[in-house]
Formats: sequence, C-alpha cells, structure tokens
Amino acid sequence: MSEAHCHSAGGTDARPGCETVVLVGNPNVGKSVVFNALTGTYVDVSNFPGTTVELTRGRIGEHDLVDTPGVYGVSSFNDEETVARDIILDGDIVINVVDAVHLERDLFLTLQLIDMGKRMIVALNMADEARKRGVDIDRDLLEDLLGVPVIETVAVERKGIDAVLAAIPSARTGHADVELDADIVGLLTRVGTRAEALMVLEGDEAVSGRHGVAPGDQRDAIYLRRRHRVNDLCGHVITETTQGASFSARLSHAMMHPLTGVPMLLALLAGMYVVIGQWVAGGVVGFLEVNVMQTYYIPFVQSVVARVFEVGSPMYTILAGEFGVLTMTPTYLLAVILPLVAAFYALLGLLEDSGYLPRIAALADRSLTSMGLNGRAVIPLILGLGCITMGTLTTRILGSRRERFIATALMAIAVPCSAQIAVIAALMANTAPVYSAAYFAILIGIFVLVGTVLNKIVPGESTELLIDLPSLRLPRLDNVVRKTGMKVYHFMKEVTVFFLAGAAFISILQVTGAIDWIVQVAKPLTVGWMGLPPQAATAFVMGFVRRDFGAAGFFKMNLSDPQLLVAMVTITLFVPCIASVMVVLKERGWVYTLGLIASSVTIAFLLGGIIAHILGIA
Amino acid sequence: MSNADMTQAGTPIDLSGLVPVALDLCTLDCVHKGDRIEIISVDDAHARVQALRFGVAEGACVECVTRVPAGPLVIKSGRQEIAVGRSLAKRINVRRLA
Repeated sequence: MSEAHCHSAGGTDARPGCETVVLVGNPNVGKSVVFNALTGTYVDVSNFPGTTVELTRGRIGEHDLVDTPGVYGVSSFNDEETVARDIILDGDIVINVVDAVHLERDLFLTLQLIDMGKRMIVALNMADEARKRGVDIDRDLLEDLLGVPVIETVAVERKGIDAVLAAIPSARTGHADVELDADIVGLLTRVGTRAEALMVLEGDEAVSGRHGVAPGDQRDAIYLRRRHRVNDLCGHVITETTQGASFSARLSHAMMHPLTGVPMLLALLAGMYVVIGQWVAGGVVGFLEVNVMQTYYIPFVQSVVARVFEVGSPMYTILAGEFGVLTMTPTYLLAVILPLVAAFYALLGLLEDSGYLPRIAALADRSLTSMGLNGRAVIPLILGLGCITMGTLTTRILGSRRERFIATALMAIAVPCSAQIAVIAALMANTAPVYSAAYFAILIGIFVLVGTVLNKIVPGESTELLIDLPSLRLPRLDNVVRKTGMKVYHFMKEVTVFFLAGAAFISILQVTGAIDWIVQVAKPLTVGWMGLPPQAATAFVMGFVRRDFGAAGFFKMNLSDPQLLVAMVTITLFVPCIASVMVVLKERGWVYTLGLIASSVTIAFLLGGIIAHILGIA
Repeated sequence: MSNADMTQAGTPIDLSGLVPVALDLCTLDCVHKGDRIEIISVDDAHARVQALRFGVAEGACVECVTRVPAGPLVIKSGRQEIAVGRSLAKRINVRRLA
C-alpha cells in the first residue's frame, strides 16, 4: 500500500502533474526558516493564528512547497490543526521538521505522519544545538527505525538544506504501527486514503463526516501506543553525555516562582518601557512624526490636495485635514504604529525565542485564573501594552470564546497602549509622585475588578493551562528578526483599512460641526462632574482616534495635579482608539462592541467623577 | 503500625496475611518539588491527548520540578517540561514513587 499517487489530488492551486511537498512541524522548530531556505524566497509564515492559517506556497524545482502552521499533532483541536490536517491530507510528500533538542515531543507528530502512510523525509533541525547540550542522536539508527530518510540540518545556517532538497525524490513511507493495519484496510474501501482512514480511526469528526463514516473511538489507545513507540525510539537513538545544565534549571525555576519571578518580570517590563516608551515612542516616533511627516510629507500632500479641492472645503478636510485620510492616516501608520509595533514584536520575539514567555505564562497563571483566564493570556495582554489592536488580534490564541471575551474587554478598558503610556508619563512627570502612584494603583485595581466581575458573569468555561516549556536558550537574532518582519507585515496589512475608516469617521464629525456640538453637550459631564475645562471633551473625542492624542490634548490645558490625575485615569479607561474598536467589532461582533463601549465610557466617567469629588475639585 | 491495631472496632479481621504496600495515591496538585511520580490517569480528554503529544502518557514516570505557590506545577519527563494549571492538576491522579 505504500505506492504513492504522484498525480493525485494536490492543493487547490497545485500545478497539474506536480507533486505537492508539505512542510510540517511542531511550533517553534524553525520550520519557517527551513521554508525560506528551501525556496530561497521571502514568504509569510508565523506562529500566530490568523496569520498562519493562510496557505504559503513556494516552489522547489519540479515541486510545489506548502507550509503549514506549527502543530503538535494532526487532528482538529483548533483552527491551525484543521488547516494543517487538510494540507497534509492533500499533499504528496511531507518534509517533517523536528527539533533535535525536543525529540521526545516532536517524534510524536513524526510517527503520526508515518502512520498516515505519507511519503516523507525528516529534517533533524538544530542538531548543533542538541550536541552543544550534550544530546547525541544516532541519525543512522533513527533513519532505520523510522524507515524514512533523516537529514541533519541547521536551517539558520543553511546547513543540510541541499541534502534535504536532494532527498525529496527518495522520500518514502516509514514503519507504521502494524496494529493499525487491520482496521485501516477495513476502512480503505469507504475512505479514500490511508491517511484519511487513520484520521477516522482517531475519531476526527470532520474527516469522518466527509466520507459518511462514524468517527472511531480508538484515539486514546492509538495515541498511547504511539507515545510508547516514541519513548522506545528515543531510548535507542539518544545518548545524553551531560545531564542538562543545572544553571538553566535553576533559572527556569526562578522565573516561575513568585518571589523571584515577579521582580524579574517587573524588571523586564521596566526595560521594555525604556526601550519602547522612551527610545522608540520618544525618539524614533518623535523624529519620524515631526521631522519627516509633519515637515515634508503633510505639507506636500496638502498642497497637492489643495489643487483639486478648495482649502477648508469638506473634501479637503476629509482628505488632508487634521484627521485626514491622506495626512493623519499615513503619519499614524508609518511614523507611529509601525516603529512601535516592530519594537514590540521584536521584544516579544526575543522572549519567545529564549523560552521566557511560557514561563511568564506559568508565573501569571494563578492571578489570571481568578479573572477567568489562564497563563497564556499574558501574550495578548503584553502585546496590548504595545497596541490594543495588536493585543486584540492575538486573543485568537486563547482556548475559548469566554477567555477571548474577557481578555478583549480587559485590554479595551484597563490597559493603556505604549503611545499613550509615553504621553501620560510625560504629563505625570511634572506632578507629585503620589499622583503617579495613584494612577497606577487605580488602573491595576480596575483591571482586577473588571476581570473578577467578568469571570463571575460571563457564561461558559475557561480552559486550563497546559503548556510546553521549551528549554531556555539565548535567542537567535536572525530568527527573531525574520519572525518580527513577518508579524509586522501581517499586522500592518490587517489594520490599515481600519485606520483609514477611523480617520474618515472623525473627519466627518469635524466637517459636520459635530465636534463643537459635543463640547457643548458634554459640559455638565466634563466641567460639572469631573472638574475639568470644557475643552476636555475634544481630548476625549481625539482619544477615540488615537489614545495618545487624547492624552496629549491635555498638555495645553494647564491642569492642576488633581485635575491631571482625573483626566489621565478617565482617558485611559475611556474607549480604546477607533482602530482597536474596529478590530474588536470584526473579532467579537456588534453586540459585544456596543456593550464594551457603553461600559468603558460609564466606568471612565464614573470613576473620573468620583476621584474628582474625593480630591475636591468638583 | 501493626495490623492488630486496625481491628479494635467490631469484628476482628485477620490482616496478617497481607503484605503492606506503599500505595501513595493522590492528585498531581499535592505533589512536592523534587517528587518522582507515576501518572495514573488524566481526567480530561483534551488534556490527556495534549499531554501524550508533549510526552507524558498515563503510566509515565515524571518528576515535579517546580511548584508555583497556588499556581501551576511543572513536571518533567526526559528533557520535556510541561506546566499544568492547578485545577487541571487536581484532575490528574498520580502515585508518589519512593
């Protein structure tokens, strides 16, 4: 049964007569690097859902090469696995990238692919790193035991890539679990291929449904046998010359234990604040925004637009006004968002590549469970500190709708974004320290309160933490740079349209005079309830366009210290910027978005007024 | 403790023929750092499958390497480490090994 169908169903866009080669591997094994090395072109791959669940196709000679999202196994536990499963089922040849450092984990997927009867090659990646850690793998023996070609690679250095290319014609089916044969043969008459038959036996409902057969109930037994085979294989092929570094074990423990882990995390966040809030937001963004965009770009665009539309006309305002589609949007996207997002993704990439991120997740798990989340939620929450839009998109990695609901709300309400933090820090720097302390205490209090309340009222069940802790290592810069580039590209691609829509919306408010009307109508609230000057209303409307604009709007108002505290707390809790509202709308729907806006506005003004009354300014 | 002590109440039962076995059963959340344990069962279908993929099967002997106070436990099997949330740990039955 090992005969391969060279011209059988490939992917939808596969060239006729060409075999499709599919690249498969666990998350973070260097799969994207292998893909780039094999095709020699820049392609978009990353491990974030939504961005990975896009087919990436390249070419290697005669063959089409398709990438898949990183998965721990083939089935349908989440979107990535579903996508990966279908690409694998459609493919002709599989190149399975395994991390030599984590062979016990990675070979599970390898054996599943072998059991599927796929013709394949194993790329034993990071072989150098494994050796450095005293893990010796007997490649020849592994090849014999698996029954498929095994090639050592160090993809980041392009080592072994040519050998992988040369081995594609000799890809073959390996030694599958013989106990499966009887059942698979029985199914083959009703199900097209051995691979699909295995999916049915393992209880995959989607594949069973396609063929009109009942899903099997043997998954646990098959998985357990496979696990034993993996352990057995590892026992034969791995020789450990040194018992793992005790320093990294101690560091790993320290990162997760609250007594040491919390100070480390705080130090990390402080470091991130210096890099992002001060260097990037202050330095790079300031330079690009003022010295490049406002000095050269905006006057240029305004002069061009002025040739067509009269200065001050509605169309001029919409295109080239203060919030113009051609003026503010490119400025904001290229001079503000791009550097900030790039910096954030790069830092996150460092954390991810070093193995620190999952340990932060373990450290934070306890606190987050009381808010209906699990440790994994630190990833969107940390990204939210960079840009709420970025954080909201990343809630896709959370395990349930309930968790996505809570995390999105927490970010929209109580997490200030980096651009805003920078402006707020500048404003609060001139106040007495007690006000800065109060600002942080209030925000943390609201964060915990909102999370705890949502945990009580949002229906459904949250998932629990069960994550793989990769070994700690020094991050590989080329890896981080490559991943950052891909993520930034995807992010910018996804949000540009929302920024355009937001800019148009605010310009329309301006053109129709709605902004002045809002200032008048909001007086009882701004002046009466919160003790702020009437122009504060403009700051809130601007805060809706850009959170840092909102905060910056207070610069010119000469506020007293208590007024500043009220203004900063209110603007932070107030609705997030229009781009993130649009993303929330896209991810969570109308009802959720309206509810979120209503509750954040209520909480913001209610709390602002209460603080104003306590401080005696209103 | 002698077997005789166990027969104080009610009808005497002869336990003299039994060999005492240290069946130290508990759930994963009551394991201490450094303990070696055997995983007996995982009472959650999704977690069971995910643990198998990560390298921990029912019947596997693992070591608890970190116990975050009130937080997750980290177990180690070979070189593979897995963090398990506290309430999930309560649904994993284990046996402590000497």
